[in-house]
Amino acid sequence: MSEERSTKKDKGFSGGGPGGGPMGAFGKPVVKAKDFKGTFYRLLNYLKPQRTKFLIVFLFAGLSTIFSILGPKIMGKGITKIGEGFGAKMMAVQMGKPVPSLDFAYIGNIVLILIGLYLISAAFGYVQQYIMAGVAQKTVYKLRKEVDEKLANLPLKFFDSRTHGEILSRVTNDIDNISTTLQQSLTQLITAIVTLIGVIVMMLSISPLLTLIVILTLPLYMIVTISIAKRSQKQFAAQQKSLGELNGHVEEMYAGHKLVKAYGREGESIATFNLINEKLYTAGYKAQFISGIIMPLMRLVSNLGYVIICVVGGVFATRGLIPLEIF
Amino acid sequence: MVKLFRLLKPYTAYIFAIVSLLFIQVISDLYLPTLMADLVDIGIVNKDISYIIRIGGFMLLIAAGGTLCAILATYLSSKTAVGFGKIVREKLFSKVESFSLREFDTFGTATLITRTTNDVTQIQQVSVLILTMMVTAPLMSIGGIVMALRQDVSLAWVLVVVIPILFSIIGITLFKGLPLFKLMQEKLDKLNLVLRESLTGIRVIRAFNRIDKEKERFDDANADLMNNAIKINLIMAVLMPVMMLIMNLTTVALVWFGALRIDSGDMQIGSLMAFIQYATQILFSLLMLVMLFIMIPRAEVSAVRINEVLETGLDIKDPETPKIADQKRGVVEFQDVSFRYPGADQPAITNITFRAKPGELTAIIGGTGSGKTTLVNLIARFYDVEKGRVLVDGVDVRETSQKELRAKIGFAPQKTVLFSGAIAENIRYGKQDATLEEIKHAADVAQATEFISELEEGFEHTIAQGGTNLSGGQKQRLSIARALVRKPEIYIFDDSFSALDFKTDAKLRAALRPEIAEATVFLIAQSVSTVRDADRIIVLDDGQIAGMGTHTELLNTCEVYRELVASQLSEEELG
Ligand SMILES: Nc1ncnc2c1ncn2[C@@H]1O[C@H](COP(=O)(O)OP(=O)(O)OP(=O)(O)O)[C@@H](O)[C@H]1O
Ligand SMILES: [Mg+2]
Repeated sequence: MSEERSTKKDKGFSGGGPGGGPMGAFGKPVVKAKDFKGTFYRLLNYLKPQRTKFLIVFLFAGLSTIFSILGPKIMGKGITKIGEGFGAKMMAVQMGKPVPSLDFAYIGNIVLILIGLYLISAAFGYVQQYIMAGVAQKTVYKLRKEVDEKLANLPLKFFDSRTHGEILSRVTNDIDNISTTLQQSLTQLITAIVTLIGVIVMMLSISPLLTLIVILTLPLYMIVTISIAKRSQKQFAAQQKSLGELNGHVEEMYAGHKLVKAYGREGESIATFNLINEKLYTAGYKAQFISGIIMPLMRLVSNLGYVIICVVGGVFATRGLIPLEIF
Repeated sequence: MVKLFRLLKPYTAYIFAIVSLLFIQVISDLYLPTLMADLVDIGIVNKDISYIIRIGGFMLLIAAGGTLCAILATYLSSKTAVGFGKIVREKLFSKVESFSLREFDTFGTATLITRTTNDVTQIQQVSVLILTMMVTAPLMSIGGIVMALRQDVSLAWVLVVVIPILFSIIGITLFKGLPLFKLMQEKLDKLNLVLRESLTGIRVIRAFNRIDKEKERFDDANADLMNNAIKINLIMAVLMPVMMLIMNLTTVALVWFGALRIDSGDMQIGSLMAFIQYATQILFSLLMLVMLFIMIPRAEVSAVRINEVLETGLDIKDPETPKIADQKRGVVEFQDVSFRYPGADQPAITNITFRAKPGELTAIIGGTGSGKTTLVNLIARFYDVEKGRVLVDGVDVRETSQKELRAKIGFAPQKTVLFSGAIAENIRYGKQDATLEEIKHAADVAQATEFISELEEGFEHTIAQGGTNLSGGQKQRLSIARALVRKPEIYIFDDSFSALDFKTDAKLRAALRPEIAEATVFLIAQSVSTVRDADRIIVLDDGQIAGMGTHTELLNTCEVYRELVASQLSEEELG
């Protein structure tokens, strides 16, 4: 019973809109993973009628990302130019020569290019989200509609063997989960892939050696992510199970309130509740902790990379090997 | 929300620790760019490799220290927030368990369930955010501003321009978006409602072929929900790119104006780089704060709903010094009792007076809505009377403790309730320490043994939630067995025979006779055949006693009863 109901209450409020944040989908157990592949293909089928729109979204997400990666690269050029000018000034001061001015024509150009770039990137980002807003919601609308139609054709036995709450949560909460995932994860995935490729290309063009260092830290990311994800799945599953149990108890006791009162069993009811609540607490705080440390750990890894780049880049820079733009 | 936070008291020490840890973490985060500026401005410009490596090592230490603090803080805040959820849930549940039926009715089962489960989860999730972000974000923004100013004061005007722009854009979006967010929940509720209704009425809908109509209703709600979601998404589709644009343009502006300052010799290149990092940190923290302010109103709704439950006063309370009932076992007396449900303008029962003694079977009969259930509810003090007195064993039910009162009563409610679990467990609910013998005996009397033994595991057969895997009559018999096993002074069977066929009904009543010989029995029934051999029949009509007496007496004196009998029994049976 709790197995069946365990998927129910993890999304109490999500109005299908944003706000879940990028970490929203992470760490949660794959709901109903029994036939994940089949489910996934079925979902793809639902998306089919909106194929062209999806392609446009992909395209624009890609473009938007490429432009936003190009930004730092060009920005780096500008900073390098400033750095060079700065170095030349210091030099001139040391040697007592007239102090040269920065190359403002060049810097100004870069600034203009950047402004254009970011504007275009924002525009693309907007178009992509604009289309996606409709695509995801329409898909979810259709999904709900079909579930409802399906329900109308199911034998009565199906309804007798399930609580209303359970069926309701399928149609609203669970489908809502899909909508959030569709909207966030899909675009995030595209953006992440394009970004990854883009950044690697970009770094390679700046300094293959530093790229190597960054790529070496990648497995670290992976290890951190995978090991945490594994653990969190276990804890989240335990949490969902206790939550299901708790919901079941609450539902039953409230539905039978008169009986509980008539037989004076409030005490036992509360004791059972506390027992489950305690279990939920233990599983819950662990799950919360594990998903909470992802951010700090990620930041640590990226800080490590950052420091290494600073040091190695710094050492190189003193030898005039690479420009400052790597920062 | 603030009110609920009082429940966090046991976690005060934790919260202090969290704040301090996060404080250290923010400082370490803020320190890194400054170190980087030094590394560039001193190390690289002077070509001092050992300095670079020293600062680099120091940066690693700081980063590691900051992470450690963050992890510890996360651990403590997870415990605190989830513990908070636990406490709130516990309080809510025990509060609801103490509710009388009246308080329970004012909320309704469905919303009480949502409040105890979903709403608490909602609160808990937001407290996690509050515990971490509420400290980090302001600290980070203020610290970031201070550190940025330390790097260069005059560049700060860029931030002075950007931050108000950022806030006004967010403000406009919120202004437009919040009503939609609220609507979202309403539309979702509406969809739930439509679906719930069609689930509850599924048999009727199918029987009367109203499937298409229902489908249409669902589709309307569904489309409504979709349109609202799309509206929200469209707003967000503007917000996100605009935010990114502002952040990026800020950096560009910093580069340009920073270059000017460097050119005039007022600033160093490393400082500019650090400044850019601080600016990004500040803007991100501000965004985080905004997210928080979007989340809080949503949680506030839940908090209000929870508080409503927690603050409900109990109208049925035990007296300070409960009176102990005298020797009489199971005497029930109504003295001129009237009662009205909260909010109703007509009383449900009016001026009821009667007295029932042990060994007597009192039947209550009357049309639907005539007040039968209401009357027996008053015996168990599920509600308090408006006028008059209800005495059990000589004591007003309001002057004794509820536990003691209800311990005297074996109640089989009109709406049969069974809990998920074994059949034996369900019967044992009537008497916690009942032996298997007692349970079997109760089942025997209730005519339940036969069907139980036909089930797979007999008494260990598991009942589904609400007993959906049993027939109505089977459920009623278990409910009767549960009352019987209690061996109480007073039995109340509210329409407990309605789903039994004639033969079972008769057999059950015959078996019941010796069992309840010394008890006071109330039996509500719709059919005259069930009540005709009762010691006393109370005929209720529209909340008033239309007649009281034995079958024969009533046939002679009570018009209402005669009509009832005429509609049910054939002529010769009347004789
Ligand atoms: N919880 C309640 N809140 C408000 N009004 C109620 C409540 N329960 C019953 N009533 C009203 O009180 C009146 C008496 O109801 P009651 O349940 O006592 O009837 P009854 O005789 O048991 O009917 P039935 O044979 O259908 O069970 C009815 O008019 C009903 O609408
Ligand atoms: Mg009734």
